[in-house]
Amino acid sequence: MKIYGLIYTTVSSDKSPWKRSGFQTVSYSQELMRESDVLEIEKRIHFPGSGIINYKETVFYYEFKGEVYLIILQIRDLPEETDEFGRGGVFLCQGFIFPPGLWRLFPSPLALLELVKDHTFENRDQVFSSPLIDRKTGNFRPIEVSNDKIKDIPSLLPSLKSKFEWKLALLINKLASSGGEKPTLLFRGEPGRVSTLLDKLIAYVPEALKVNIGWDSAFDNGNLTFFPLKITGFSKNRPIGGKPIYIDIETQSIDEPSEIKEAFTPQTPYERWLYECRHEKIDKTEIEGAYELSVFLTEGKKSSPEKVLRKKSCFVSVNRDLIEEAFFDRCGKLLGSELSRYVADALSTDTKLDLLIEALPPEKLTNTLEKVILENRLTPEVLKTSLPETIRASAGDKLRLILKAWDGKPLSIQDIEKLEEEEKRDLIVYFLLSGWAEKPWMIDLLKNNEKLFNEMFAFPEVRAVIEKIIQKVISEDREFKEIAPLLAREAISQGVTYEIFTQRISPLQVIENFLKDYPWSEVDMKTLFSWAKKRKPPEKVFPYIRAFFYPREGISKNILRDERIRGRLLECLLTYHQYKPEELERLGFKKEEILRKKELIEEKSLLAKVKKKFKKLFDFRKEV
Amino acid sequence: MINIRCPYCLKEISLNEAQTYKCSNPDCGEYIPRDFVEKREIPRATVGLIGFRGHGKTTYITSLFYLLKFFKTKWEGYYFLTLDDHTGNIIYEHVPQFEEKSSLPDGTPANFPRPALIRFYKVPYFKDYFLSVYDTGGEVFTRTEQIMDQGRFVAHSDTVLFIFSINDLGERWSDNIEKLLDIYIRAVYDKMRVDLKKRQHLIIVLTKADTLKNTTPEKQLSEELINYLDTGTYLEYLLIDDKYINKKLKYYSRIIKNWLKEKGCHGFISAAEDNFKSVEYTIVSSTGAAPVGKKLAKKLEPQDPKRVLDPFLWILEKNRPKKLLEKLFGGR
Repeated sequence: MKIYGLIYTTVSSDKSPWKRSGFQTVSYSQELMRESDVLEIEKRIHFPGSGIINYKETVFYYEFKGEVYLIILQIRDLPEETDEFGRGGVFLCQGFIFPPGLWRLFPSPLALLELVKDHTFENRDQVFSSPLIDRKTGNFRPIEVSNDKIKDIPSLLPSLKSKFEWKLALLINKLASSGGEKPTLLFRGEPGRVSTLLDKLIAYVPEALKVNIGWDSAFDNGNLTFFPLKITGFSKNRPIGGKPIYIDIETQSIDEPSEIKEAFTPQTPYERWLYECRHEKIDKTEIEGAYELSVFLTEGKKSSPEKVLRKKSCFVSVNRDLIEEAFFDRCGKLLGSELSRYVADALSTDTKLDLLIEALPPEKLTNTLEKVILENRLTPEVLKTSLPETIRASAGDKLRLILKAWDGKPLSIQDIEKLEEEEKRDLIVYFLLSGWAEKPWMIDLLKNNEKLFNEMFAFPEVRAVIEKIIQKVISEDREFKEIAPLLAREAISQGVTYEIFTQRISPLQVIENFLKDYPWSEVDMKTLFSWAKKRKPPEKVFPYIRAFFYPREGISKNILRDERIRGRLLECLLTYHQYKPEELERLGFKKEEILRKKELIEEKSLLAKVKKKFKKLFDFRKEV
Repeated sequence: MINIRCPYCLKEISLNEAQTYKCSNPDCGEYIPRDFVEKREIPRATVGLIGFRGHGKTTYITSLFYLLKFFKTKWEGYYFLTLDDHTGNIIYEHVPQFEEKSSLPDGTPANFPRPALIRFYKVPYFKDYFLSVYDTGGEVFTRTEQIMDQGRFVAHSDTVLFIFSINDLGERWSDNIEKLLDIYIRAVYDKMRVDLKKRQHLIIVLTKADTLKNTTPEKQLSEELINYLDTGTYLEYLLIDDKYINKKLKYYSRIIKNWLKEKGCHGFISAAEDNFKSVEYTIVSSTGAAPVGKKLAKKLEPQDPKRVLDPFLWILEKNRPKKLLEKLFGGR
């Protein structure tokens, strides 16, 4: 690789290739630089005056032929030398120009000087006797660097030891992010210390940004307003202009003007990572990776997992809000804002970042989509948008079936057969609870799968839906429509839900079992009595129905002997059928038994009346 | 509100009277001396030094300050104050070095210059005055691009001192000064679009004039000019009055101009007079004799610099507020 160079100093016209006297660029690498480049570089050469410094460095980046090179100017005071008029103030500026392939390997620029130390001039005589300089043409012959010289480059960044240094790292990142415009930084300290510190700090600026900045370690007596570099140092005579943030290296203090307080607050994801994760060991790759990630998040630039930071946990922890925002924004564009809100809730921030980096791959999103649709019972009505074709194309079995239903197509047994048992159950629960419960295909699916049907009862939410479906099925027979809710409820409590659902048993059987084996309430009895009144008695296979609702058709002796329901039957005969005591006695009920029941019925009635009065009174008082 | 041009960044700014005067240009923010802002009635001159490297710009200005310091003991009630630290350094560090160590000022690097800001009190004939002087390396004036960058302060100067040493310009010295003027006009008038004819006075300063006393015929000063130079010690300036300014200075300006014409500088003179508000001609010897290496030939004494105050007096005269009659009939 080639390192280019230039020399700026004062010479008499006979020593100048351009036959001019005075300060000028007497030599520069002509295969790289044009005269206009030389003029631009000269603008960055500031000599503070003889006796103020012995040596200083000016470091900046400059574009030649579309590529950004690093330029390090070494400026030496030559107090013993004079110009052709016998005056002092002579200095030598030697510039080294490092190609991107070289400087990008090094975290800190000044380490590159090691590569050119054998070609560094201490005075003007050395310049003009060097084979690097063609005195006739003014060409600076490039220095060739072999790969051997650049093999042991340290990967870890120079360590920043204090909060002061970290604050400064943040500050120069801010400056670099602004394109090198704001804020201007002015360091007070010896040129060597200023340069060493800035060399360390710039290692913490990503490559893409560091090209925006540069520094002059001794800008004593200068005017910052007109100087292209916004980071300068001084040791004796403070420069004017530039409205800089003043930093004293000796006292480690920073003069923080109130109007630029934000300059000290980490704002971009990269800055937050840099500042908050500073206790982790950071190398150059991580700096670049974190910056890549930061730009990716804030500007939406495409990236890839290989380019971004590998150890992301700290980055995620300090940028959670931005990751969430970016995910919601970009996922929203793909899936619609409603669905992406659910997807976002279902994923961890780390996963979201990974998905974002991979540009939200459909094949990785579909699993989550299935999950959120099923868990949140999402429907096209809720989401108000359809899923994009890329997602549909990558959908797994479950999501495909969901989308089929969303498209209004019926699902068949064959469709769900392919699914695992658990998947089937999840899917059916979803359909039952999301508005598909009463679809004929849904009822068919349940009718044809008893195991699945029974499993539904494990879910309390589903029970209510099933009850409704059963009511619907029962209601299809007009004869039972009136008492369908009661029948459905009773079928569930009797454990014959599937049987009644598939019509394997008659609703009359449910009523028969109800009368025979289950406790009933006054209300249930009234409902059934009202229903029964409108119908003829059933066949004799339902003796309890006949006994309770049609007793005058004859009551089976077995029922009269059944001690469990004898009391209830007596009460029914007295209450609903107005049996007289002698009729009851003829059926085998004893006088005392009848009397006691009557009293009980009267007590019940009285209690009901009192309750009613109290309720009225209570309601009245409430109104008052 | 006070409208003013910031002497440090050269931007037109408005300052609030109730506050400390800090330049409102966000790229500058320098404190501007209070009197410079508030004492608008005091005349002021902004001066740029133009000239080739090594022709004595810095030496001239150092010598001028040396003499102006010296006159504190001669002119009744006269003194001056520097308005910032930088100017303080020039006056109280560089000038004493020039005076006591007899060493020439270092060559000025081609940086963007900081002004020397001075407030003069009770200068004979002119009274109080503000002076801002900008000096940079001579390399700046060899290219239009550099004038537009590091040399942009000249565009905002009321007066430029065009300083050159004929003996340092080689054989074709008249061509060389014409070339320098040509570059300057191109940069400032053409590229920076400054109307020099309306805004800028030009004062030609032939430095190192002592070297023109015994030289080749094509550079040799006339007897009259040699005499004028030699008699131009500080004693000449003890009494500055209308006669000196309006008669003597003007007379010798014309003599020098004619001498330059004689030497073939017609083109230079015509270009200068056509393009500037006014042109005056002076000759000076900042140190009285050519230095030896880095050192002056001998320890500097007040009588050594010759005619050093002439350009200064021209600056003050050109920028002095004139009464109507003076404006109409009193020349430019």
